Amino acid sequence: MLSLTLREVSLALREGRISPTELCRKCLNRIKKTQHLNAYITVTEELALKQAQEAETRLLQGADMCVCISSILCRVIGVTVPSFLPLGAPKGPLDGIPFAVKDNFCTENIKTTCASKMLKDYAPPYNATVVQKLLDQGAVLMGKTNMDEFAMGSGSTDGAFGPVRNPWSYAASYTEKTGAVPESDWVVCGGSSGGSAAAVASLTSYLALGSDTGGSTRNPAALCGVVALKPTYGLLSRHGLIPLVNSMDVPGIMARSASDAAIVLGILQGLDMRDSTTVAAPSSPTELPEHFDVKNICEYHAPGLSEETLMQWSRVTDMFERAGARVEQVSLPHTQHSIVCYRVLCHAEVASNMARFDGLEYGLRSKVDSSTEAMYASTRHEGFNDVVRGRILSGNYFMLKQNYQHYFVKAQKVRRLIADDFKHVFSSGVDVLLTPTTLSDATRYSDFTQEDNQTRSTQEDVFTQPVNMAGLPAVSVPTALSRRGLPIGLQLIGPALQDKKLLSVAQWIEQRVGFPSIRDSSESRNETGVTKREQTSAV
Amino acid sequence: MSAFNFSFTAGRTFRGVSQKLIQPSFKTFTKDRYSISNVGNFHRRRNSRLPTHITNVTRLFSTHTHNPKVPEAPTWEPVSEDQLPQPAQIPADLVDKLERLALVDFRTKQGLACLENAIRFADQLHVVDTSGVEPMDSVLEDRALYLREDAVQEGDCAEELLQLSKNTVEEYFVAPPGNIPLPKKEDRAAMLKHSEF
Repeated sequence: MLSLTLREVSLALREGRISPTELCRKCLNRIKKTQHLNAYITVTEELALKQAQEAETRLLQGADMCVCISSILCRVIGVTVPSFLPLGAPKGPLDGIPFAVKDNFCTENIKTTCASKMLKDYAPPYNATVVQKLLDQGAVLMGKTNMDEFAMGSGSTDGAFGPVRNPWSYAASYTEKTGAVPESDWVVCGGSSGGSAAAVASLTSYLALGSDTGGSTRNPAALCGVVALKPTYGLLSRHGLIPLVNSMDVPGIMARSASDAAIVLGILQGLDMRDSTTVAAPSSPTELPEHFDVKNICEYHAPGLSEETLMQWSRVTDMFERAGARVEQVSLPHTQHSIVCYRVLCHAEVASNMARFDGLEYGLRSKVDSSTEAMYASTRHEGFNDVVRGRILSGNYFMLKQNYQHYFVKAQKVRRLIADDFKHVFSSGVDVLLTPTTLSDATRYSDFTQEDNQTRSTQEDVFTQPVNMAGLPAVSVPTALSRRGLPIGLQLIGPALQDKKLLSVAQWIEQRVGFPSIRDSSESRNETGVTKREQTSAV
Repeated sequence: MSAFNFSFTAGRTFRGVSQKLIQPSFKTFTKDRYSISNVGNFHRRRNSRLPTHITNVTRLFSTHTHNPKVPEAPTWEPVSEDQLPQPAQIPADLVDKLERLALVDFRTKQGLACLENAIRFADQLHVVDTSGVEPMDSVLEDRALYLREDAVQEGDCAEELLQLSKNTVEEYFVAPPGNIPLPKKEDRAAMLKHSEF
């Protein structure tokens, strides 16, 4: 039951094969069993059970529709009518479905920490718009997931609550193929929404919200073998998402299949009065093109791309060609400089956004109170880790009067060149671009931490951040397991506001690549005397 | 940048098949029909001889030939040192100024090295020719964004907000005395040390 897609489990709930409270309990048990992954910062057990109970009541009331109809018939015939419960109905496809939210989305009265000491006791008084929309649909909140501190990082290793372990580290496909011992050789999840990806991949929730600024949803999704959608900038409201880079952030959706992501997108998209950078959702696309053009971006063969990822890229290109798609290589000449441009803009906006954390109105407050400046400085010293502080400092450097034109404005100009590259390619009749998502499969934690956060981000974000610069939608689809038994994903990029079309192409790939479920890769360990942690529960 | 375009025009029958393949999957996205994905329909619609599943991954690795449309080698040209301007030196008073502006400290030599690396990395921007290009503030610059009515719709949440702060008196947030500049660098280190957990 836990490894089904959202669609399938929703049907199961409707057909009465399982009840929302049973499903909720199963997920909570699974969370307890997978605690070693450290995917969750806060697990909202009581709230989840309460919401599941409400969903169950609604489902039962919906079933009482039959009673109601028969009572109407009674009236018509003229027989006395038995009293019946008030009419209710399930709210939609997400009613009763467990979901998880990254810890930088505000959730009312539930701790929202951004994996930082600065906000470790902060409980917002409101829900983020996207969270509210999911709750209004009856979805059941399992908890807040772990991440890199303030979403800065690409491994989910730099949060204040510890790193997140990739669930595939414990799968037979990894341990048997490499002889690795999970306790010491576990691999990273990718970041910065690593906890959300781990939650979906370890079967503790059916969908998860992440945030995507430079690839923070697609990167962990590719490394954990789930589907991730980065919607067009402005399509989903950012109200309640603690901002990193206002001009590039979007809430991201992680799910087990492209059609699940589409269901969630349909619910979350649209104008929000509280976020002035939202745009109206496009009306549902009607026609799909006669044949679609797929282009590979030739500049995306970046140095360091692994042989296996290249092979997957080639394999999926073959699939498209055999199906009749027109495939070409295209050039995006400024892509190479995109990572540099992203770094400058990111640091500058971070310096601005992190200025709000001074300890006065919310969050951590230092005991030093000799002066306001001293209190602010020591609060920020205590609350932020090295990564955040480093970015704030370089951001401030780039925005000094003597450097503003030279770095910041220059980066903005390069951003326009990059966005124009994409515009040019899409206006020449291309439907979708196919690229790798990450350079390779997941790295071992012990190797990942050999380099500092900044270097790792530079390496890992190379394929994903140009999309954020241009504000376009992108999907990461898992295609196969590598030789080490870990997932590899490919990225599809589409023109602005064509998210649904992009998801149809993603679904097309999904149905043909045969990516194995983590469940399949974890069976058959029983004969070797598996420890309790490594066992997957039969559900 | 070198770019090579192979265009490949598919035969007529294939073109028709690809359209039909996509359409049924599209229908599953409408909100009120959430049936399970219809892979079966793909076969019913057309006599397609397309491969519908990939079986053995290991077999694939050994027999796969590289698709010529996918670039086989990296095409990025690394930016060499001589293309970059002189590395920026960061004098001590600039360090001090940055710490005061950002209200964040460097703490160690490592922090300073980090900043220098970031600047060196950012210097690569200057090899790109941006003459005549306008800076881009937002990707939504071509749109007129939604503006709501200028009428008060919510508010009155002072109590909720005050509860979030550690130090309040009635309706005020309490701050330490202002207008006192940050202590000098030497004293700062001592202050921060005391404040560390």
